[in-house]
Amino acid sequence: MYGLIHTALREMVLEHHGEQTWEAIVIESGVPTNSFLTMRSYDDETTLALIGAASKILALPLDRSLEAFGEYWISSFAPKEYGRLLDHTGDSPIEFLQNLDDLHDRISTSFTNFMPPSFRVDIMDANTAVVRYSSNREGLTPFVIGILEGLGKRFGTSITVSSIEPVEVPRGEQSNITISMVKASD
Amino acid sequence: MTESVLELLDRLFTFTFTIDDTLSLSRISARLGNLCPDALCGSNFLEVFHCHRPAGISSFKELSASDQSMFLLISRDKNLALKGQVLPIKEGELYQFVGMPWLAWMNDNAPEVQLHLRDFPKLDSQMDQEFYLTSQQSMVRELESVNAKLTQAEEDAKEASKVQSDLFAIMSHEMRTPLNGVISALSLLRDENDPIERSKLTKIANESADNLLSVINYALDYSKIDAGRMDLDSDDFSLQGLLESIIAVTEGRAKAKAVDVSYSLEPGLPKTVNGDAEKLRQVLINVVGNAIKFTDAGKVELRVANYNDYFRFIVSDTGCGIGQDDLDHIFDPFWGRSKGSSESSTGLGLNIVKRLVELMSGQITVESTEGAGTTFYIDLPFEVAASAEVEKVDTAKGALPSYLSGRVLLVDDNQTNLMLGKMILEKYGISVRTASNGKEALDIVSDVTFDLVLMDIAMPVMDGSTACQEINRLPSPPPVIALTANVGPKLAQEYEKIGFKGYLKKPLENDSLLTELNIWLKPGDTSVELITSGKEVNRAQVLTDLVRQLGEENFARVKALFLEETDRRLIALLSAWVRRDLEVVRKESHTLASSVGSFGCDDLSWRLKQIERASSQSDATEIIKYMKDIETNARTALEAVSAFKTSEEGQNE
Repeated sequence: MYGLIHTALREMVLEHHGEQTWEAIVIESGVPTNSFLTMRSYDDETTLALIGAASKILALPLDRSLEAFGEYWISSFAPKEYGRLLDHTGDSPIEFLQNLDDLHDRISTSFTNFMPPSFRVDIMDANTAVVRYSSNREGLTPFVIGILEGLGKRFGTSITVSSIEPVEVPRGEQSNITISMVKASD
Repeated sequence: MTESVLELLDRLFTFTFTIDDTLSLSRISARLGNLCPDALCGSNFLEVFHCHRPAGISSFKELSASDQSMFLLISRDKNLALKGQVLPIKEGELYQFVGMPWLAWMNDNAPEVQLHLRDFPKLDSQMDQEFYLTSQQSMVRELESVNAKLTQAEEDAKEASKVQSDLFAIMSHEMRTPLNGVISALSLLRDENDPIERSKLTKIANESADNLLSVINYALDYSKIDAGRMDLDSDDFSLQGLLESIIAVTEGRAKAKAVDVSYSLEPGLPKTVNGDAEKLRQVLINVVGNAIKFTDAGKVELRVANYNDYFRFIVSDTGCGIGQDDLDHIFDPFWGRSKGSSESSTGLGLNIVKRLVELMSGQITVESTEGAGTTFYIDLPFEVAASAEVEKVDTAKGALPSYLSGRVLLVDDNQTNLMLGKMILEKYGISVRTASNGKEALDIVSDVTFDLVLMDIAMPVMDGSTACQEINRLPSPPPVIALTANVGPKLAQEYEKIGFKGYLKKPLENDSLLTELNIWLKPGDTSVELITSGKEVNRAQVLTDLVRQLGEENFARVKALFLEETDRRLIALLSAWVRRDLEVVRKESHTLASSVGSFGCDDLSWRLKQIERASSQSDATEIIKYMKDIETNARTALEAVSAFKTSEEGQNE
């Protein structure tokens, strides 16, 4: 994964837990550096080691850590770094999710070795949709759950995950995530 | 261009319109209509848009002549900018504009206009570039931050290096001065025949050499403290014993100058405290020595009092005192060399004293009146020793039974310790079996029942800790007590965690040994009078005690074994050091420290412990410090042990 992800994780830990906790996480992970370059591609093992170490040091289950990270990513880090791009991506959670693949496709042309996940959205009714998430990587569905919850906050909509249905795939991971949405003003 | 081609162009490009030869607009795409309300059918191209590129378009003819150019258009209301080109539908009559938002202009000039991803055709790379550029900017920020940190680190390193260089320069100068004294004195001595002059020159050479040694010792201590490698030991020690030893070391110099040196303890202070006795000793010897140096007649007092939660050590003298200007620099290195004293001085002692006091989390302050004397206050946060309470309990309990019954397995790889320990235990009436390592002990305990196992820690084949854990896995294991030369406040918890039921410090002391044995063994039938040593030990006393404990014949055997084994291990230690095999150095110094301690060679034992500690930290500088005199020191100590004669041996001569 790109250093962008590691930078975001560090920012989240620094913001909520401080420098010492981040240093403890890096030591626990066994990753030999404390500094990551946004545009450099790192092994997935590095990313997973950091997330695993964060989970251990913060005494949070891994799924919960990934959810928190997903929410931080979409609510705090990405708007700070790529605010205008996110603004272009959509005016509602559904529109945003529908355009995510397009956004990722565009990024792919500049970032080699970029292996983005894919999101398809099936709208069931005015308040319900199924997000069909698939990735070459495994174990990141909780990260997506965090992103969905964060998207809800971004657009003033309460998003609740009502079911997660794993789909068997030969490689990576695929989940059908059913969400219920209630607009704050509704 | 047919209608179907125009439709295809509408699908390829998000912003399209047609321009006729009157510059009138038609077929305006819906999204353009939304974002640019002035773009209506029939409106004039130049009234709706300012043509930024190609510059200066003012007629249809100019427009049609630029069909190979990129068009950058800005709406007159400045809410939209487009990037595209014009294509001929009908040469000289109709042209079609195809394009998309000009993102860079929009970001800079109309950020409030909400563009969507769908406003940008798939073939357009502006959005890709925006992500790329944003990421690159982010990375540049990160690199600048890393660069700033590196620059700061470089500056810090340069500053630290400068401090080191300055100190090195001072130190070199300070070493050269006494070295010159040694060289000059020795050179003059060679040609001098007058005994009085020779004596003077010898004295100069000696004093200069002492000075040189002080500077070298300072440099070693300084670098250790600076590098954070000066460890603090923590052990119980007698306050009175320590003060007595300081007076004993310094009173010779005091008497020579008609200075009365004394000590006192405030009533109510605990007898035993816990802290780093060696470093306190170094501090007090330095401060008391200084006081004597600057007092030509009168007195020097060393007092200890309670001060808030600290132990306050007060050193006062009736000497020449220190002027206010000098007081501000008294702890600086090389301050006050030979000031106010006829004796030579490096001016380093008080700097090290301050560093040591701060290392012990204490503080040192000074008050002085010129011509009336000086008082140093050293406040240290020592704790009251836990053993002080134990002492009281023991006193209340009265004398412990000193003849015991039971089977004990004694485990040690040092044959002298093994033989010595066996004899001491047998004197108590205990049945003793021995083993030379943990594995041998484990095998024996698996077959034979014991009431107690006394286990050395550092041993070959299987160490004591592993053996203890293995023994505890056996059905009905005997209690295992650790025998250790290590000291430290957390030792009891550490050994308990491993599975030991207690620990005894080596060399074994009668009182603590007997106390431990009485916990695990039953009283025996007969009572044997034991020698208890409550006073300061010395080699002769230790050896005399051993003779009384073992009997003269046994003592002679143990002594011979001790001398032979120590000699052998000493050679092994020195050859390991020559090979720089620090692991063997550590093991041999550990074993030797223990056995020579049993024979009262306290100084040698202490040196070996320092070597053991330094080798476990791979600190070659520190090892050299203690290793350089070890052979001479050991030979002297062994000769003294060898020369010690029992009354029987004396009679036989």
